[in-house]
Amino acid sequence: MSEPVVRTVAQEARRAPVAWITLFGALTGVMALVPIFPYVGGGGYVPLLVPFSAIAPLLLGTAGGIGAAVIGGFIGMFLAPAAFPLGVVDVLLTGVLPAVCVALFVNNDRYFAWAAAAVLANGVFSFLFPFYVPGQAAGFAAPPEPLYSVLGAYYWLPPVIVALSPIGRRLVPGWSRAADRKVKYAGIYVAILMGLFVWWNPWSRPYWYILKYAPGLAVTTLIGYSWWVPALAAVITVITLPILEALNRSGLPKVSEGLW
Amino acid sequence: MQSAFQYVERATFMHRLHPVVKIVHLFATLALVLLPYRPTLRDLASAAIWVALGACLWALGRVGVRQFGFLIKFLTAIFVFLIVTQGLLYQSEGPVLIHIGHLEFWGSDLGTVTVEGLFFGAVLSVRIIAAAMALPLLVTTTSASQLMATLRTLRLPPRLTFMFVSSLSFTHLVIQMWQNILEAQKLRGFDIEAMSVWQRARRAYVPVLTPLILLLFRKGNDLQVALESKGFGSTGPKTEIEVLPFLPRDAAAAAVVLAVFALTLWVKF
Repeated sequence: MSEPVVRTVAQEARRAPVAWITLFGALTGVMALVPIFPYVGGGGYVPLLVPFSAIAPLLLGTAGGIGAAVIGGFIGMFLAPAAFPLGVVDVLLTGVLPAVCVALFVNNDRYFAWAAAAVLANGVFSFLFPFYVPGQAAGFAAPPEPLYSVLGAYYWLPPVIVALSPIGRRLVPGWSRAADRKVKYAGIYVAILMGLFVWWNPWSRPYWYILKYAPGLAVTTLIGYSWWVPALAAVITVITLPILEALNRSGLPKVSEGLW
Repeated sequence: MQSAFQYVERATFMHRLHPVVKIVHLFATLALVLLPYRPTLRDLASAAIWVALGACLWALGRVGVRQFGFLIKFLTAIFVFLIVTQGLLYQSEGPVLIHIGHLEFWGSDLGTVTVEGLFFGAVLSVRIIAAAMALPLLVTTTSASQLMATLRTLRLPPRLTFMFVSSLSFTHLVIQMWQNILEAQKLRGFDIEAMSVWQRARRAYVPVLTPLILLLFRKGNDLQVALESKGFGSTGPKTEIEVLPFLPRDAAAAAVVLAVFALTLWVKF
């Protein structure tokens, strides 16, 4: 059994200032202008805002990070509506959810109940919606089984295992705050990867429903993003570590639940 | 691209209109976009009516189409993609327009382009146009101070309202800082534009983002001091710089928007 996660007094002391949240929100919003991946099924693009939303809770703490992601999401919707085809719904799905999911995994020792509820609900939702519920009632044909379920499980099962086991409850939050650079890389990578896996299902399914995806297109989408989510998590980790180290050495006041 | 979604000061009907009416239009658009659509004439007509309303409001606000050239190009590419993919993938037993061969793909025959599929792609495209027209209308015809006053009137938390509207005005600062850092790095021989996609993913963004975020947080510290010295966050009644009365013409405009919304629902269902 590993040791409980230890946070320093400085890390516990302070919430992110409003001005930091405002400015990081502006930065996140501007990043909506930069496309990083087209939607596999068409209809828009994944903006650079997503990685910034995922980073936000690591820099500003859970509340500050989610606040910055909300602001960034709304600004992104104004600046780049093509990245938010569903408007306000996409603010939640594209802008805010990455921050929430990563925050849950990086602080799973504190928010275990929330994380457990999120990963389990995510599993049920992504399996059923939209091909089984509402299914044929809304004009959706049955997907090819067991291929569809196996591909779907690739996205929801790893977060369930990690979040409910000691890996997620103790190790990942501890590794993310470790002094050793390699251990910290590992912790942050796992937290971001699991967060993005949880984010991907509720992010993608509304498009399947609204754009009436055929089962074939849904399977293609599941395959198309299977390499992309881990690759995105790796790129975010590579970007995040130097920022955390730079902030740590900057002399700026530290933030509660921030990883620096 | 940077100036497309900025407030443009003009003396038009839309500029004078109370922002609440434009927000009503925005949320009605959102509601229409989220409804499930089918490849029927009724659904196409319903989306087209809302696009027509949007076009009228754009004309009343003299919103320049040219300044959204990048958005139009982007959306055109999406429409072509949607129409082609729906033509090929939509599961239809209706008439076939083009028959190339047979390629069964989990219920869809990729060797045939169906009329119903193409029509469904067109319906989706019209719906996206309807969605894309609402936001530019609000942003280009409503100033930051008007937006702030309106959000306060709608009883949104003042702290949240301040953060949102301030962030909106800081976007230019962020873009400027981003460009300054890019140029500074270019002077040192670090040219992101000359890098391949793989090189960019691996090493392009760290030397730009790290100083950018540090600079932002340092500016944020100064801003925080300025805010606190002006009593930000203090409790008690607050005064307003701009008071926006809701006039009869605003009520009439809101009634028109809601009437057209009801008409689109009636046509659809």
